Amino acid sequence: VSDPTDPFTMTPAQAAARAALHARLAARHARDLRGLPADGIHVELHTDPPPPPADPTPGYARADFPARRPDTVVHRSAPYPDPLTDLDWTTPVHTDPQAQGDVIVLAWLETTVPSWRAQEVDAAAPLPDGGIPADPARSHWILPEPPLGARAFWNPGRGHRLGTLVVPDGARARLSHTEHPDLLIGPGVYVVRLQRTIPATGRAPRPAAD
Amino acid sequence: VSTAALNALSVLLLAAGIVVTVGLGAQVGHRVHRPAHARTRVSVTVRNLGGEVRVLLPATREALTAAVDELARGNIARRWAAAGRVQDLIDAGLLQPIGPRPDYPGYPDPGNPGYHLRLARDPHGAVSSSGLVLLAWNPPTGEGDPTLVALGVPADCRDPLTAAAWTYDVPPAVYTQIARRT
Repeated sequence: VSDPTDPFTMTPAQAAARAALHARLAARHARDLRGLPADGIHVELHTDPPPPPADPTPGYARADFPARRPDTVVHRSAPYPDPLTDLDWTTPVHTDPQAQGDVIVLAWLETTVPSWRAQEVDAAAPLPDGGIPADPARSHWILPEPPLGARAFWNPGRGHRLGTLVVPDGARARLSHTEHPDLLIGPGVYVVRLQRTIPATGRAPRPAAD
Repeated sequence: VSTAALNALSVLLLAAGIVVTVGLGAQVGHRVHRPAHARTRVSVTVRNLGGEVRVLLPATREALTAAVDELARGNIARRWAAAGRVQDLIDAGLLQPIGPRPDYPGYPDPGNPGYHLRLARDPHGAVSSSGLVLLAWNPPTGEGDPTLVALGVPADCRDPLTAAAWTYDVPPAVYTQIARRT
């Protein structure tokens, strides 16, 4: 007999949910290792359909400002595809500017300070298998992608210049974070920067809160 | 100077877009041991985004009360800003959004779809020592939780797009071309 107030004993429903989650994780892990979609795994994503765009003018005059907190609990559906349940979901590869939270990835063109660019590229070291943290808070990680293919290079910077990312032809780099969907970065040379703010009076400068 | 005169002056200046701050007249560099004949004065700071002018006035009872109240408001603003209570700061008037109407939803963020940008004044420097704050607001459309973030930006930012691009140290033309943001 399970006691609902006992935090250490799982109810049968909780145990079933946990087993289902582990099965999904194992299927995703196997799919990632083989590079193929997992077979025999059927996952239903129970989310409400998105509301139709009732207002023809998006952005303006849709809601009041300042924002009010909702007094009812709003059903939270993932604004992005959930990689845990959406097995066909793929991350797009971009060479244009991309941002993940407070980190921005900007292409460094060959015509922009070529000597400095060549110096940064020469000093870059290959990314290790486990990736490296990009920001001082160690929340954004740069990972080689695919793990066993051509390797991207990383040269750490200072301050808000987090570093220089060099992705050779045939390689990709993945920027990963626990709270944001991943970014995939195509071939090129990139500057990775951290968002900055002006601190309050009497405080030391600090990076923007993520 | 009476409190009524101070209030009337501040209302006039606020209508013109100028922030008035009242505080006790302590200056940086003052001697710690003040002479016995030193008098407490009330400093009235009239601050625009371009600069500020400070006037020392005699500390009448009403002016002292107003100054202490203003210092208390500044402390509350600092505490709420440290706790991330941006909505409470706006509701209490400690962050004053700049715009044509108080219900103006803001400029749609070109680099972050779903978010709206708006500039706000921060007269106490609780969020930004420059006195200007960028509000990034995710309106509650039914998906996810509404978010309201305040970032300190330089005082010479004329529009929210310039301010948002400054936080990433890119020109606005690059900021509008962000291909993906998660």
